Amino acid sequence: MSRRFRHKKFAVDGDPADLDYKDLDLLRQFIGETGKIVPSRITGASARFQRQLAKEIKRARYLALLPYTDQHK
Amino acid sequence: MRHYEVVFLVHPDQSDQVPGMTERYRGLIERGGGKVHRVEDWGRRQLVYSIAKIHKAHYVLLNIEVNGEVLEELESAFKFNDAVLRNMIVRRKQAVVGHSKIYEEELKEQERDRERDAQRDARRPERTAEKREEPAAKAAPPESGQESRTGAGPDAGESKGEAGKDEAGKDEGAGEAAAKSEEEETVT
Repeated sequence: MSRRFRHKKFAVDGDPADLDYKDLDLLRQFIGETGKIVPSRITGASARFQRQLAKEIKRARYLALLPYTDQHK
Repeated sequence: MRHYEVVFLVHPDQSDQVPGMTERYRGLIERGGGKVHRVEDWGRRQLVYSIAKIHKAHYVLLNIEVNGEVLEELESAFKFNDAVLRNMIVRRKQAVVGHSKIYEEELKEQERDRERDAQRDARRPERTAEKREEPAAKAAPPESGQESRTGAGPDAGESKGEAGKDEAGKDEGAGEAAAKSEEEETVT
């Protein structure tokens, strides 16, 4: 399918409980160039993981640790 | 009592009040019978987008265990303090200790800055070497550091490149070290 776009972590990504809004290096792998959260059908994340991921990304965005969009400034 | 993780952002101009603020919040928590499990001062960070028209903010992280009353007091303190630009309180299942990744990076940066300063002083022993090696009393204003650097001719090239970063390092150092009096803080 859209497997070409992200040859990425066909995420055996493990425990959603380990996700942290402070773990920017990890989170950044799941947002696109525009700052959007990448769908799990591309990253291969499990549903549970993706839900928690989205939550943490949104927290990081609120704290200005991650962007909402690429159009800031 | 419940565990919470609290992050708050302080206006960068009020960076030097941060230690005082943190102490006050700690006092608040402990007086209410709570515990502070972790404090991390991330210092000034570049914001990914501007908040209230500013591009940097002083971040502080706290992991605490408190009851509802104290939590409300803390929320109220954030709400009425104009220096606090943003805050986030999150419920946690248990106490968290140990450094966060952001804090680890911050510590490494400080280490790098110290090493770079030490190397520079070794290369060009000057009066400023004394000023810079006072980690406790970082009273040296950024300007004096700047003058001495541009004063040394041959090294001017590389020092300019590092100037920006050193100033940032000094700012953060001044923010952490100096505990200003609380009267200066604007609490409406």
